[in-house]
Amino acid sequence: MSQLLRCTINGKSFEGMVRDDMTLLRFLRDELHLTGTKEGCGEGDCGACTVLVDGISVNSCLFLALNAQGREVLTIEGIEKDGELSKIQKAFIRHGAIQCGFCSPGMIMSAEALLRKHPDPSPEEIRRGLGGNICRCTGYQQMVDAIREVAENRRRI
Amino acid sequence: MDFRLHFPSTVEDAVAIKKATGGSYLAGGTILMVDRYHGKPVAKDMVSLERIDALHAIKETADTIEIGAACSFTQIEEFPPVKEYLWALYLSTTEIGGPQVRNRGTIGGNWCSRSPASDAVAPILVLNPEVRMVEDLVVSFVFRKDQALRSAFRKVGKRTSLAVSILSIAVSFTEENGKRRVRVAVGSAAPTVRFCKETSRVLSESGDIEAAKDVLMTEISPIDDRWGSAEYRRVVARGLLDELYKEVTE
Repeated sequence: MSQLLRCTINGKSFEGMVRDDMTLLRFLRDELHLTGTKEGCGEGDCGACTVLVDGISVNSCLFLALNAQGREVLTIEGIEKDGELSKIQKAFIRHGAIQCGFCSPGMIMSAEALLRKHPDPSPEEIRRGLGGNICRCTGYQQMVDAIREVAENRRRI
Repeated sequence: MDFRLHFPSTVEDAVAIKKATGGSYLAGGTILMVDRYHGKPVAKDMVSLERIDALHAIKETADTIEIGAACSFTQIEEFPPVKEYLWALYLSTTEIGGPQVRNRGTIGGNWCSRSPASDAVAPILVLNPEVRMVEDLVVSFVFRKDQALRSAFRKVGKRTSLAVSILSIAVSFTEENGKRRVRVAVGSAAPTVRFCKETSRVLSESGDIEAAKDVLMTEISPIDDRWGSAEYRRVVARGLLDELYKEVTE
């Protein structure tokens, strides 16, 4: 059982038949070979699979691909522009917020969603905004610092 | 696991498809998709509520706040009248899961989940809305706007986010024409979320919090499980009832 899916993935139109029961995570990784989005738990508890759908962060492991109908999906691959890493990505690197890297795509997508809603978040708001993403390596302070830096720089512009 | 996914655009179509297929309604998927991941049997036909606009609408009238059953927790949290009039519900929606779960999880899904740890249920019970249904589909929750109503909610868990509640409790208080009405509901302390009728009655009639705490013990039946012991839950329930009752009556 498949249906026609029409949506935008990282700014590019997609049109094709997609199985009814396929999750967005499996669709991105297996059909589109966009393997930046990770499966950490498969049950909406770790956030490694976070992508944005119409700007809203979701766990793609629980989100059916066909629910992306007519919507814009943004994955970690779509965050960079013309081969250049985004400000959030660069700040993550600068602040040592990436160790093993497995949580990083999801964490960066959540950071992106957070800054779109709260362009100048306090450390508490940052921690709350990243509350759906688990990191086993860093202790999170590096992510808070990275996001604060991005927010500060945006304010100064 | 394989299922067929239906996308009705009206409530009537959704009800008809479910009747015809014997399938399940599917809202945000934060419960059903987890069940499926764990290998629990799920319906062969999923009737998605995703494209039914009426179920995703939240609106305020002069006397009411009507929340569509498929409204996400984020939508509810961000609707200012909820914070003003439905404080217990507001608190529960801000603490469920994490941002990604709140962006997809729905009030209707939480209500219909049959889990005693569903955090929005105790607040709904003490705020006592009209639950509108079309056949077996919950369509909306209509809450009365009551300036005099005070409510509160607290949940205890092992982390700040993505924590299954060890215990949750909601209390509401209002006074109309000298008549006091207190409502108490407790989650994660019985096979279902419990509306504590006798505890509510004792607090409404006499406000005797010590007596109410003893009565509460007879209305909940917590168990030992991986998140906590029955004894711990009893202690927490007593303490939180005390705290929340003071909060809503101050």
